[in-house]
Amino acid sequence: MKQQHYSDLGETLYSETLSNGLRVYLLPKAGFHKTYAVMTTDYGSIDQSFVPLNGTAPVTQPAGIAHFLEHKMFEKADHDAFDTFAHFGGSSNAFTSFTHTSYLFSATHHLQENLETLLDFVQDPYFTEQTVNKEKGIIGQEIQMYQDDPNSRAYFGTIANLYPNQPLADDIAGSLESIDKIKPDDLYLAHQTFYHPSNMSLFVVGRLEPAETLAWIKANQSAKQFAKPAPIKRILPLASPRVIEHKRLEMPVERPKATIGIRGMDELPTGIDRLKYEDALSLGFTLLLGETAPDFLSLYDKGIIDDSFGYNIELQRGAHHVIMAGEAEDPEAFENAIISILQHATDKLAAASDRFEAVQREAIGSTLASFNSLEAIANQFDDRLYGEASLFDEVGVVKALTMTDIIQTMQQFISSAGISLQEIVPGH
Amino acid sequence: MPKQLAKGVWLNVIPTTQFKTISMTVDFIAPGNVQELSNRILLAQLLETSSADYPTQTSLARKLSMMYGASYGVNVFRYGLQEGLRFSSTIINDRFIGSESLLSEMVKFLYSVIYRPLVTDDAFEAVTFGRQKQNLLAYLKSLNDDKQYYAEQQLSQLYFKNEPFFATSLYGDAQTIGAISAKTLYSTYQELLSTNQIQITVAGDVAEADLVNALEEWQLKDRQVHDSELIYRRPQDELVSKTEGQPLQQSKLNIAYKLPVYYREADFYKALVFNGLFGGTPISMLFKNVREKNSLAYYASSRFDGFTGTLLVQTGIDQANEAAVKAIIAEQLDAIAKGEFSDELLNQVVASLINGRESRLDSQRALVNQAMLDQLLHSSVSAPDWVKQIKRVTREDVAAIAKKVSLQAVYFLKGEDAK
Repeated sequence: MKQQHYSDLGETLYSETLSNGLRVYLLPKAGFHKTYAVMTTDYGSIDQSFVPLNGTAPVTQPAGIAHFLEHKMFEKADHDAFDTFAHFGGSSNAFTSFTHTSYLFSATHHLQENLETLLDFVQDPYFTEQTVNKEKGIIGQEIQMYQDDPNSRAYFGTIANLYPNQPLADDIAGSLESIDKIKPDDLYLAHQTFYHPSNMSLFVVGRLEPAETLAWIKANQSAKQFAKPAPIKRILPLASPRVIEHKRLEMPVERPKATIGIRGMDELPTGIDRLKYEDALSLGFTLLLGETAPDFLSLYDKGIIDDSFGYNIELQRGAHHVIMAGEAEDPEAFENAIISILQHATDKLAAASDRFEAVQREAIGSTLASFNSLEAIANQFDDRLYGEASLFDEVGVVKALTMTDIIQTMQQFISSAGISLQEIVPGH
Repeated sequence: MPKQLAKGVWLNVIPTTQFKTISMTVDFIAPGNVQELSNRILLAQLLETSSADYPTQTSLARKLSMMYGASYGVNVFRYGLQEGLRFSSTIINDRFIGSESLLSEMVKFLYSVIYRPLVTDDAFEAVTFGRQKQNLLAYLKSLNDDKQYYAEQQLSQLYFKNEPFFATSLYGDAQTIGAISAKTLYSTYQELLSTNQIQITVAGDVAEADLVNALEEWQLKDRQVHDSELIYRRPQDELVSKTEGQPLQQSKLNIAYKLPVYYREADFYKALVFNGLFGGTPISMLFKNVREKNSLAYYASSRFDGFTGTLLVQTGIDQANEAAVKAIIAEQLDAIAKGEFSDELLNQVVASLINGRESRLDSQRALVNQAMLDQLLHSSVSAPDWVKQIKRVTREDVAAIAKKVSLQAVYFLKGEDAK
C-alpha cells in the first residue's frame, strides 16, 4: 500500500491498485465519527457511443443511459441496496455527471458491511423489462422537475449551446423520448463495458484504519471473477469549434436570467500543469470578476449584476469551460459588460497585481477548509484528470502561482474561446 | 460549560482539533414577530455587505481574502417563538498557514461589522440602504421561481393563517420590508444590540481563555434576561385546502398535519422515529410507496418540526395523479397507526436516524447550532443519550404517534399548459 504524507494539509493518503484494476484510496481522518465512501466509474452522460467490451462494432445508446443505469443499480432481484445500507445504518446515494457515475454511502457504524454492500451492489447488475419500465416514470418526473427549474434550464441550455451536436448537448438525465427507448440489454452492455474494476476507483475517508479497510476490500474483490481488462474505445463526434452564439428562452419566471458560457478551444496541458492551468484560471476570474474586483463593484452599484451573480470553472474529460450566470433586469447590459471585461482581461489583470496576494490567500484558505468535509474531499478527488497530481497538491500549486502564470493562462483560454449567451426571460 | 460574560451574554467554546477551521457565531436573540423578523432579514442583507470600516462589498471582500478567505455571513433564524440575528465567521487554523493572529483578527473583524455599521445622521447610509433593500426585494421575487419553495410557502400560509409570524418566510415578507426606512431600521438595530440576549459560540482548536480575553474589548453590557417560551402549540383548526394553476410540467402536492409533540418533551423521540418511518428517510413508506412502488413522483418526503408540532409532506407529481397520491399518503399514515410495518424496516429507520445524529458531530456548523440551541433551552442531550432514547422507541410507540397526527392543510400547485 502506497502512503503519501502531505505536511501542509496534515493528511496522509493511502492508495493501492488491486490486481483486478480497481484503484483504492484511503484517507483516515482523526476525530471523525463517520466514514464516507464513494465508488466511481469513468463513465458519464457523454459516453453514449463505444465499442462494447469484447466486441468489435461500435454501438450508440439512448441519451440519459448512464443516469438511468445509476438509478437501476440499486434494485436487485430480492432486495433494494438502499435497504441493505439502512440495515447497517448506512445512508446511500448516487449521482451522474457528464463524465462520471458515483455511488456512495456514509455510516458511523458497520464500515465493513457497508463497504461490502457498496462493492457488491455496484458490481452485480440486475435488470428486467418490468423494473426498467417502472423507472421510466420516476426519471420522467425528475426530468420534468428540472424542466421547470430556470437555473437548470439556463445551465444545461448554455452547455448545449457550447457543444452543439455533441453528447454534452444532451441533458444528463436524457429526455422523455430518449429514456423511453432504454432496454435491459442496453444497461447490461453499458455495465459490462464501463463498470469493469479497471475503469473504477474507490475513495474511503473518515473514521477508518487503512490496513484493515484495505484487507476487507481485497477479500471482497478477490472472491469475484472479472473479464480481462481491455482499453475502452469511446466514440465521440469530432468536436467542431462552432458554438451557438445566442439563445433566448421564455419561461414563467419572475426575473430574467442571463448566462454566459465560455468554451475553451485551447489544448489543455497534462498532469500537474493541468491543475496549475485550472487554478490560474480560477484566480484570473476572481481577479477580474470576484467580489474584490473594482469592476464587480461598479456593475453591482449600477444594478447590472446583483448577489445572484456567480461563475464556475469546469474542467473535465474532453472539455473545459467557464459558466457565468446571474439574474439581470437587463440581460443585454449584463452580457455586454462582462464581455467587455473579458476583452480587456490582460490590461485589467496587469492592473490587479496589488490584489494578487489576497486572492491567492483566499484560494489557499478555501482549499484547506474543504478538507473539513469528507464529502468534498472524496467527491472532488479525480485521480485521472491531473495525472499523478490531485486535489492534495492544490495548496502547493496555488502557492507557486505568479501573476505572469495567470495572465498567460487567461490569454490562452480567452483568445481562442467560443462564447455563447443564453437568456431566460419572463413569458410563456 | 457556557460562561456568562455579562447578564444575558453567554460564551460557549467547543474545543476540538477535528477541523482545519475555527468557527465563531454571535447570535442576538429575542421573541419574534413579523415586523421584527422582517427587520432582521433586512439587517442581515445590509450588514453582510457593508460597515463603517468596510463600506463596500469590495473592501469587505478584500479584508476577508487577506484573512485566507475567511467566511463572513449574517443570517436570520427562528426556533419556535424565538428569532435570532446571527453573525458568523470561519477562519483557517493558524497552524496551517503559519500565522499567529487570525483568531484575534476575526474577533476584531466581527466587532467592527457588528458595532460599527455604515451610518450617517442616525440612519443607515441612504444609498447602500436603498440598494440592499431593493436587492432583497428582487431576490424575494425570484424565489418564487423555485416551485418547491413556493409550494412550501403557500402551504405555510394556509396552515399558519392565524399566526403570521410562522407564515412568514425566513427570506422575508416583501410588504413589511418595503415599508422599512433607513432611520427606523437603525434605531431598531441599536435597540436589538442593547436588549437582545447574546450567545457567542466558538468551535475549533481554541481555548476559552483566549476568547474571554479577546472579547473583553467588546465591553458587552448586562441586559434583561427573559426566559421566554420557545415552543409554539398551535390550536387544532378546520381543514383548509387550496389549488392553484401555473404553467408547469410538474405539479406539487404539499400537506400539513398537526402533530402535537414538542422538542425534547416526552414523546419527542417517538415522533422522530415515526417521521423517519413515514417520510423522513429514503427508506420511508412514502418514498417506497409513492415513488418506488407506484412510480408517481421523483420526490415524496416528510419533515417534522418539534418547535411548532408540525408534520409536513411534500411531493412532486404529475397533475393527473393528485387523488392517487393523496390516497397513498393517507394509507401510509393509516398503516403505521395499525402497526402494519416490519420490524426490519423499523430497525432500519432507527439505524438511519442514529447515523444522522452521529454524523452531525462531524459538522462544525451542526456543533455550533446544537450548542446555541441547548443554551436557549437550558438543557442538553448528548449524542450517546440521544441514541439511547431513539433505541428505546417501540413499534407500539410509533403507532400511537401516528394516531395523534391530524390533517390541517393541503396545497396543490397544479401544472398546466407548460411548453
